Amino acid sequence: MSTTVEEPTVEPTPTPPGAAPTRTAQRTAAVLALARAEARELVMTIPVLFFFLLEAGLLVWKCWDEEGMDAFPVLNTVDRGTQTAPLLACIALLLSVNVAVLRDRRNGTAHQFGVLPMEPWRRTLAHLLSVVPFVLLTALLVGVDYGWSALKPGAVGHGSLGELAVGPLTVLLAGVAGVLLARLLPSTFVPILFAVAAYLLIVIVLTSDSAPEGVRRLVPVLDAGGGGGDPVPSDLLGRPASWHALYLAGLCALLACAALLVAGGRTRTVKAVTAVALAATAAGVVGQLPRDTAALEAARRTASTAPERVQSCTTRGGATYCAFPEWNGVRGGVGEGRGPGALGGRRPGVRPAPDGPAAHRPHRGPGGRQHAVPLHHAR
Amino acid sequence: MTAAPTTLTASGLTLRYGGTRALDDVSLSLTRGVTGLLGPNGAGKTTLLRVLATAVPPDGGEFRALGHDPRGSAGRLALRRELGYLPQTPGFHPDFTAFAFVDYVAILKELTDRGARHREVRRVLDAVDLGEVRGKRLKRLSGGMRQRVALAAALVGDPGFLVLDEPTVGLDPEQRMRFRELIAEAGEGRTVLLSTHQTEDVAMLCHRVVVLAHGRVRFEGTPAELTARAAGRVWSSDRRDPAARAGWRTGTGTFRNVGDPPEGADLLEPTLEDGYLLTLDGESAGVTA
Repeated sequence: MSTTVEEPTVEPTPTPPGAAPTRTAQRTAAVLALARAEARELVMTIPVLFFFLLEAGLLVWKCWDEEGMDAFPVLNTVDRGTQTAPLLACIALLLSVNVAVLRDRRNGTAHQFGVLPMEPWRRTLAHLLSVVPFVLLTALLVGVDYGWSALKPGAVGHGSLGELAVGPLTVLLAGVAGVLLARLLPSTFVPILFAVAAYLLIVIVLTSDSAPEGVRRLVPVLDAGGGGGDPVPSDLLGRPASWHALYLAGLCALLACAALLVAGGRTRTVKAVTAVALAATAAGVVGQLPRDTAALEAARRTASTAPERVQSCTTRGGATYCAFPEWNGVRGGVGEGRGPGALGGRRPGVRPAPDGPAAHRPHRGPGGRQHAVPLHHAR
Repeated sequence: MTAAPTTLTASGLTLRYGGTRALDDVSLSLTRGVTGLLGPNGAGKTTLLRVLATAVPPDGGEFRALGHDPRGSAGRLALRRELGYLPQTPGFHPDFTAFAFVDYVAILKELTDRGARHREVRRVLDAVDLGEVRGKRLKRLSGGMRQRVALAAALVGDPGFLVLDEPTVGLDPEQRMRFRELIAEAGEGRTVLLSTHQTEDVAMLCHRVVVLAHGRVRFEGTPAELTARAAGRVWSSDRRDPAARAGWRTGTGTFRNVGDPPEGADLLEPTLEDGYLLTLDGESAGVTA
């Protein structure tokens, strides 16, 4: 049976309460509102709350409980030390974001929310944005960690923004991976398996001597040990921190775009950002490929085997302190620049040694930043 | 008397599930107020509601609601902005409070001004009598309360077109009465399409009724017109009349028969249910709703 409609008249419907004046602004604002709501939900999840509090607590404890050489931090080592602290929070975030994305599916709300104005890809975008506060929180913790050391009178050297960015970017990468996994493989077991596999892979790659350097640099954290060896002069470090940060940022953007595309967000903007992200990731990968130069190798050899050729020394209270040139005039007045002749022919201290395999490879990131090294006591 | 303006027109809607026609050339029109959608299990009611709620596109045919053609993405989005949909088995986020859940839906409906949105959420929760428990987690609410939360979620944003799929299933009589009040209120100024098995709901709430069977519209008109279909075709007898299409013993001990009465039968006043039974004419559904 059908009904013939004589005069189909539809009156304009009023604007819903709370609606913003323009549709584009309204849609953007809705995504941001959802991102805030999802971020609030994430904060309330026990793993995220626990591990971020743990990270903050450990930082406070670290700042409180200092001893010995902690008063003389090497900032180009400290910056790397900030990278591993957020790893457990990363895993918690990955799992919790994944659960949040799958919430509709798990609770049977997908079919009723499917007819609401906000499309799945915009909801995916909101989930991606919900990670941002945790990235900022990590950046804050990294900043406090580094800043605490940098403000000490005995601090030497310079941190690298690229190294400091790795921690927050790793958190972002974990959150984005959680969203993408939920869109690709909607099962809560998948991220658990992924997290375990990724963690093991990172540990294996970083601790294995046989892993090629190019592969080692593809894992998010550059040095799991946080620079456990002796500090080295910044110009001998050769770490691709800035390129690595670019690689991580590009990878985050690339995975985020993949999640949006899988969720149906095949807009021109998303496609364009995908292309840019792909280029940035590729540039980061290529940029951090090992490219040792003979000059750097020679400089390292000199620093290791004949440091007196490049160090300057000073005597205080009967003790002689030697340092590479860039350490002279260190705050706190521990030592001041002197010529090697001040030692009266004694061989200066040679404590500085290249800092692990990665440090032996010359590299300059986009910023070309190099680092400083501390004074060392010559016995 | 001026006819109420038509807010939804559908023509030739068809949808197949495999080899089965869930909707078979469905055409209908709706106006403001509550329209009941009756039909046996598997008649295609839920499928029709899902099509009209833009959850699934039809294989054939078209419809316009509130002036929007959902075949294009812009029209579909415009319609969704004015749509409230309560599915047959609504899902919930059990750890959300009633307020947080409806607020979440309000955000998905793109109500972005936080203050205005929260006022709207409180308004709809008050409207369904859940203002007092809005801070309670959904897992701690009864089934009836959760159903009202789902109705509040459908009502948030003041949609012009409300699609309700058997909202009173599983509710006790008191809750059903309360729901009737809510739906009647919702029907004031809105287009409400109410799918139900309860002919009493239709009789009490709806100004129009559509009967669906085998994916086809069998009747479209007012409840009075549907009831009138049974005029002179309901009678009482001391025993079940074998000529009746349906018959049952009533509380008084006599039998109420529906069908073609014999000569001189003791005719009874028909009800909407009698008209519905005769419209179906013994048809059983062959599709999944």
